[in-house]
Amino acid sequence: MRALDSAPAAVSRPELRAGEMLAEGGEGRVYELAGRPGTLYKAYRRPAPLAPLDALIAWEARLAEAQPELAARVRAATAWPQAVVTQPGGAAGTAAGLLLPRAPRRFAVRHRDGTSRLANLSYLTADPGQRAAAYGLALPAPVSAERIGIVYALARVLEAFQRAAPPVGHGDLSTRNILWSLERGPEVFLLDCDSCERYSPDGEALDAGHRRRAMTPNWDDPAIPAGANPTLASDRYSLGLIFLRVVGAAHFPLQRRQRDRELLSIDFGIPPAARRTRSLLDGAAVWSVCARSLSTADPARRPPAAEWVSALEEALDGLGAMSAVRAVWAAQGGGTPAPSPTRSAGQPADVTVRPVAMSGAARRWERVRPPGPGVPATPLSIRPAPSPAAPSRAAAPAPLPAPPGIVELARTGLRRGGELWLGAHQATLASLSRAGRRRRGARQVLGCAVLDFALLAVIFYMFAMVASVLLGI
Amino acid sequence: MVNAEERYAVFPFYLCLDASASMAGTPMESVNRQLPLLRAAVGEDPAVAEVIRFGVVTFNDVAHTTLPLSDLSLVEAVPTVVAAGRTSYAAAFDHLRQTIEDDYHASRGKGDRWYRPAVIFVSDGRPTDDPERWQSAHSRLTDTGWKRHPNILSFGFGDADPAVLAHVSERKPHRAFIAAEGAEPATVVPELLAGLIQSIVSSSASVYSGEAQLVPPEVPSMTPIPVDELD
Repeated sequence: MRALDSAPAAVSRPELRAGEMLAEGGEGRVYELAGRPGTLYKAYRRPAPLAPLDALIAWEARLAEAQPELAARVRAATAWPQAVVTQPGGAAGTAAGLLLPRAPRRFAVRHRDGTSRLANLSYLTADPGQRAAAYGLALPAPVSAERIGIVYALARVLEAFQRAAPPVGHGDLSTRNILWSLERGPEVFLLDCDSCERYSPDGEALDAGHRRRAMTPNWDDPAIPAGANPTLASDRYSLGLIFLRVVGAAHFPLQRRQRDRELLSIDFGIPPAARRTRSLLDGAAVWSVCARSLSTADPARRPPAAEWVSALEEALDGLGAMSAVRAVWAAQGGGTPAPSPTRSAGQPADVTVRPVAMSGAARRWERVRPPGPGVPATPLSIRPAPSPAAPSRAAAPAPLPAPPGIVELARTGLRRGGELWLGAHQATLASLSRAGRRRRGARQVLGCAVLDFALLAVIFYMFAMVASVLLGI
Repeated sequence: MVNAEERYAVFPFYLCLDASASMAGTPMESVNRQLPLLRAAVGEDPAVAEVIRFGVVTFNDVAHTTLPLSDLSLVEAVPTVVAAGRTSYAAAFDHLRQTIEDDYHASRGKGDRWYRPAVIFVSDGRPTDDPERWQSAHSRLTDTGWKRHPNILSFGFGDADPAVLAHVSERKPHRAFIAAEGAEPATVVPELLAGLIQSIVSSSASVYSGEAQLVPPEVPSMTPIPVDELD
């Protein structure tokens, strides 16, 4: 255990042997470390102020002492900074980078082409049919226990952030900063936790001013003015937005409308399988919690993550998926759930969310295959006439030899059938005309009669089918 | 009312590539090596692919749609391009206008909303058709009375004429580019396509900000061009 009254130990940059670079972003680069498979080195582009990073590392150490159950969630489900890396000779009070835990391998998806990629939220925020066609991934259906379980796992991590003293806010809960896995049950893993901020009991940022903490476009809190840092309430907005997009498996572009002060009326599609689940019916806790989370009218009244935890437990219970709840607890260090908080009543003035029957048939997604090797355009000896309609037709790709079409097959079949029929009758006539073969000829006449009768019956039947429609019978 | 049917507007990119005989050899080999990389870079990232649609139009004496405008995550492979024939800019512009119009209506039919399309025009030579002919095709493509008229970025190397490229990009600043004298196609083409990948990825990020911008491939002195959403 770390000493709590002293600054966390720093690592000197020359002590590290950086391996392969794994990612590059606006803030810096992330490298593997030789000999330390579970740890990554994040190198900042420019030296960063040391004090806020030290404060975050100490925050987690203190949480482990004071509320070990909450600290276990943070440790299991976040890339929480482990140590500051300093550069000998660097400016005093600055960090060159950080040591971070690496996301376990199960937080990855394997595309059809065999490449493995971090399982970020983008895979979940669209029709799973599209993701199956595009990447060959079998993802859970909208409003399934797996999807609700992933948001539940996230809500429990944010609950730990918010119940700690002092509370912390992540400030950029966006698609690339949240990884998920379903391998051992629903799990999340939060990245970019070095941008987290500690807040005083009245919501004042304790380390702000040092740095700009920008939210990712499309995952931002529309209550925050352009250029300003997110607040403790911004994570509460993000959780509501992530619920809509992940559980609903859709884009839900809301922020522009909210910035324009539009009143939002959100229809959340419930598939037939979940339509009788009481905890998802109109009036269930989850819809009110969601609407209040998304409200920009009074961000201070957005519900804490703890309310989501209890509403989602209710939803999962209703779906008969308490196993998902237990799996999340087990993955986040065990422990017992906190008693459900009292719910603040009422709907916000600017947002309503209601469950509706999922509309329409599923969209079909087809893969685009190239039309074979490129075909060179035939050089023309004369210039094409400048007719306005000509270009589109002239430009159609040269057709490849086409496989036989249905018409072609039918034509061939009819011709073969006709030849067989004619052959059989000719053979019968030939037999009858020859003495000594009459007995065989008689058998053939009988065969031909049966064949012709059957043919006539089929033709009559088809004629009757057509005629009955024409006559309106 | 907001529901799951509402999707992000998409940003269509058309690569309009000169496939005349002079592109044979190194330039075309390099295009055919780079296009699969572009497909992977855009298509294998769901956050980028979601808002980008990409098509390839090639032209020589006539123009072809080599890759129909597609969501690159659904494209299995990019067709290879073969170089032959002369350089009819008129064929390219007429084909682009018709293709954009058709694609727009097909997309609307599926409920997609569009940002103004971008055309990346790449040529290594001068037009072999009459100036009046290609210029009138060009003015049909860039006619501001036609609501779908695209923003055109043009790139030239080899024998391309800077004055012609400037005309193709409607003489708008920072939209037409010519390779430095003596630059080899073997280096110019990969750089251009790498720049195009970066341009598409950056433009996709701008779509999410709600203010889509056509972010040009990184070339000194270029600035992003604001792009408006179509009705």
